[in-house]
Amino acid sequence: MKSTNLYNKRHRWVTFGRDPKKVSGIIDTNQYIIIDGDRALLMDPGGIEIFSAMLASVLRLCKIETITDIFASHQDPDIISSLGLWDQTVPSARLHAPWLWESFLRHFGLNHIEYVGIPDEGSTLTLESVEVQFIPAHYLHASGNYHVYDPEARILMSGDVGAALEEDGSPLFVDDFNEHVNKMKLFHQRWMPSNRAKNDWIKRVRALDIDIMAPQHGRIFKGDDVKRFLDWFEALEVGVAIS
Amino acid sequence: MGAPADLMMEITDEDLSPIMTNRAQPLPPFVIAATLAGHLYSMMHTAKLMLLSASNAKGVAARAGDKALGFRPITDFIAEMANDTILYATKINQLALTVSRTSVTSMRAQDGARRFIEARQQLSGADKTGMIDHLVQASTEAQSAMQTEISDIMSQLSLQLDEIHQRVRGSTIVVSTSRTEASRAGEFQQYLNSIADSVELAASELQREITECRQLIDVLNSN
Repeated sequence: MKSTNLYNKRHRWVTFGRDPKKVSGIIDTNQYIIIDGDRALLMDPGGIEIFSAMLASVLRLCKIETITDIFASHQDPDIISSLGLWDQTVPSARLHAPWLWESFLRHFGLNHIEYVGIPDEGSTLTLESVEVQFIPAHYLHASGNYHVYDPEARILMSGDVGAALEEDGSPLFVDDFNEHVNKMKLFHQRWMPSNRAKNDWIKRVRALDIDIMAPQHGRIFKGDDVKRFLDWFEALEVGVAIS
Repeated sequence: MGAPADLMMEITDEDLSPIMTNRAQPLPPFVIAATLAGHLYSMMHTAKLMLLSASNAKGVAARAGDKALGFRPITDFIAEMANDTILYATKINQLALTVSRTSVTSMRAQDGARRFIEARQQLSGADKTGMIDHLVQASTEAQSAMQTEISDIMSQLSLQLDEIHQRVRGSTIVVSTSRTEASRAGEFQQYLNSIADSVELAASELQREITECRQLIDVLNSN
């Protein structure tokens, strides 16, 4: 599994993914970690099938006890079905996840890790010094859903928003936005159910200062491509399974 | 709406035998234990029918008066046997479910250990692999403790199944005595014989279930 630095100053953002040994037939995912001194936030750590590769990748960067916090944007298996294994790995950690999904996520096996339900309006988490915000993204696509915004690094971890469906091993960053649109269109039209929720999120996110928008699938947006994405998404009709 | 309770609990030979013998991969212990619990639930159902037969027999014996004097203590024995079977089957059913649950937890610990080992193989350097070693050890120890717990429960389970078996073996004598007493009951002979038939049928069913349970316990013990 590849590890790529997204930001490395006072604290560090790293993304994991594009694992050449990934089991075929499962959707490729991007995992993220913020390492801030002796504390780390692991975001959308992924499914059971990628756990071993993820653990090895994380331990190349920090010690086990550094992982004090885990974030799950929503309840999907590709996001957090590895929870039962992380529960054995970092039993003292805290899981920050939508309050709405607590009794559902516990089905993955949560015997030690403390569940910290994120309220509907969002919340913040301070690691050693950096403070990150859990930004509401309800109905994008799950009914209880959050993204992680780091004002200092100007990075938005955007969960399934900005995701693309493409071949394994695709580049990590968007290089040609117009060409990339084709890989995102179906995903957003079908997985995102509500135009109202979409526009509410866009309004909220436009107010943020973002250099990098990092989705959980597909490629990462940098610089002007972030604004391009927001404009494109705003014009897109979603929830198309019912006409 | 769920399936009727009787349909949900019904596990037949056809359901079980093929999965025990024809699978390329052996069944995981938690499935075997859950299957065992299903058999025990079925035994409780049969024992309840036996209790109903005992209750009917009491009614017939009361109506038959002196003609069925010898039948009354037999009905008490049948009721006692049925009640004991229900009691022990209930206990074993709970034990079997505990074995199934613990087996699931044990398998998850085993899966955890396997994935920790895979992660360790992807790391180089003793300082990194050392971080995972204690996770592997903790998983292995947890698994070992659970196996000990399962083994203890299996011993209890076998002993309690023996208790049921002893009572069911006694039913052969009860059925035989019932038929003798029925032959002296005049116009009530037919009723009492039919009660003896139903007890015989229930006992045979219990015996069959016990045999199945023993096979499952043997499989579990060999894991």
